[in-house]
Amino acid sequence: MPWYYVLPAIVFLLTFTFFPVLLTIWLAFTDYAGARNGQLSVPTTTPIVAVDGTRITVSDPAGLNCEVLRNGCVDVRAEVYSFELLAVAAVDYADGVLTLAEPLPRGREARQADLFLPDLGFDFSTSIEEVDGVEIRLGRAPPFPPDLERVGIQMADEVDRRIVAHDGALLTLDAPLPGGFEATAIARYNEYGFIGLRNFTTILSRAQRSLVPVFAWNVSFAVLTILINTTIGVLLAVLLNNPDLRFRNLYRTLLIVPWALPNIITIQVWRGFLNENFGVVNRLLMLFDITPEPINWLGVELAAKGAVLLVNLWLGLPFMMTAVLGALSAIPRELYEAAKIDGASAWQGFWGVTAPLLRTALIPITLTGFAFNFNNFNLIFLLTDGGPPVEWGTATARGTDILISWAYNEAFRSQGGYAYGLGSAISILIFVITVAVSLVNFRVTGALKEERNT
Amino acid sequence: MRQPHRRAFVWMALAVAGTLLGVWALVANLPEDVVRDRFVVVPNGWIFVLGAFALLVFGTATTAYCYGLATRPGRATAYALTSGTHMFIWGVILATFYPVLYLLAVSFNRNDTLAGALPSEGNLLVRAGVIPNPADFALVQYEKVLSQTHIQALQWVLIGLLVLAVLGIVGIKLAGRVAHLPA
Repeated sequence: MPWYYVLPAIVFLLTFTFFPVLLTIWLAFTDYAGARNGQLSVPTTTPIVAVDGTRITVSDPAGLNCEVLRNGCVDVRAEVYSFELLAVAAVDYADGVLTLAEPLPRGREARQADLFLPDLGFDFSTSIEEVDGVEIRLGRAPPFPPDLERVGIQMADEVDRRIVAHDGALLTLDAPLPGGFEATAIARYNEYGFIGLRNFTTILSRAQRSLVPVFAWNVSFAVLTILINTTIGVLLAVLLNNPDLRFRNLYRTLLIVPWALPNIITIQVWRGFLNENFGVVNRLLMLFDITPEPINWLGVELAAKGAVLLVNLWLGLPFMMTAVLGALSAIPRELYEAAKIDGASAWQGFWGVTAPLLRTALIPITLTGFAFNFNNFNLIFLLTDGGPPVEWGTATARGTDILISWAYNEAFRSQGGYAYGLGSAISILIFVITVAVSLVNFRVTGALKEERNT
Repeated sequence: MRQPHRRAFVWMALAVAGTLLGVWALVANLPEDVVRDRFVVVPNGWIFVLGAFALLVFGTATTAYCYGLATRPGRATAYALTSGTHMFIWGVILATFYPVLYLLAVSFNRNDTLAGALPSEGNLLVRAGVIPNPADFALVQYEKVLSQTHIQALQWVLIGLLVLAVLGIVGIKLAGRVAHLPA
């Protein structure tokens, strides 16, 4: 087969499978995050008060926000600015475009225009969008006509340097600034870099308060969901599989309706039902005096876990029932008739015919269900948002957090958001755990065992 | 083969009457509801609900059993079990559909929510906020959605084509039936 037949497949494989995997592995060993994204950090722009060779003094060292970087501001790229206000004259202004008498000097960037508005009696400042010869397009049009004789243009120039030492307000650069360059401010880059196994040690050092309890609940959640949903799903399916049951087609149709509704909406409805003060569940329980006081379903750990399982039962039952009904329809009726002729009761028919034949079909269904629920982010995120906060946990690992929601919290809700480094490290750990759990699953259930004919 | 007991119809009627009477007696004797912690509470209401539920299940099974005795005595127990199956499935359907109906009720609610203050008048379940208050029924949400819907000329054409296609399919089906009618 010519090589170019498989080229598109290889390109897609490399782009959509290998690249993300390699990127995740690489990021796991870096401290890449929202606060360290490699971009210039404009908010850290700090005025420079003195320059002495490679040493510069800033007015407010806290403005550089060096704490979020792994080595403070040492060995970090920075941009040194020089700002100069040029007084120029304009000849015309119309529709946000200012026409100057002479073009601006080359080599530097025009950043801001300061216009005096005689009608108001004060200056109006705006950014400059574009400079085209003598014409300057302003970012915002002034509300009144400007005084064309009193126009100020802020010119900026910048040079790239590396901060090699940092001691309070005193910064040492790797090279002196160019001659004639009047430094006025400095801004640092959000530098990130290789940190070895630090992400993994961070996770493992907090494992007792995050990884271990979250993993334990994750496994319990997936196993309990499968047990509850399968038990009730099989019970319903067996009842509905009875050909003598009238209206069974109507029942089947009605029972799969929740499947047709989007989870995003129905989980929100359930969140409303479980509200402590206005939820229908508490209203019903209180109405019939079943509980002496309303239950804080989403605010107490055990109740929240119960609520997650309950809502997942409601969401998962149509799938389980339909899947089991499909498996049951593959069991030949003759087997039941033969069992009946042999004098078997309905109970014996179930355990002697249905259960053994259903087992083979149930294994892939339950394994798929387990794998789906093991990473059921939607339910946790939309119903409890991982909460409630618990004493044993952390701000990112709470009462009902599962591994994937914990990874999300670590990656996107801490360290200025987008802590891809830590998030990637957690993803790798989840991958290892998932593979281990799947292998145990396959081993125990024999799902991968090959049939022997001899 | 066992012969049908015609007298079982009388037992069946008695079972139906007894069940309805029992449920009615329980509901009619519900204690006066009180408001506790913003919630409407029927003191010890669970005893009445449980009693009514048990009576309903037992009464239905008995009625089905009696019907079985009156028609096919050999299947009387199966009839009772089947009635239980129907009741169980209807219970599951109720639990399954409650959130769906709730969603529908919210869409027809003038306040855009069912979680607001409880109404002071109406049926016990309405006052408790368990079922929607019919007095709050309104089409405002739909009016709002439709008032913000602008259908383009091309979309009107597509809707017209869709209607024509549906009418065409129905017409062909009807024509087929007419053609197969016996002369």
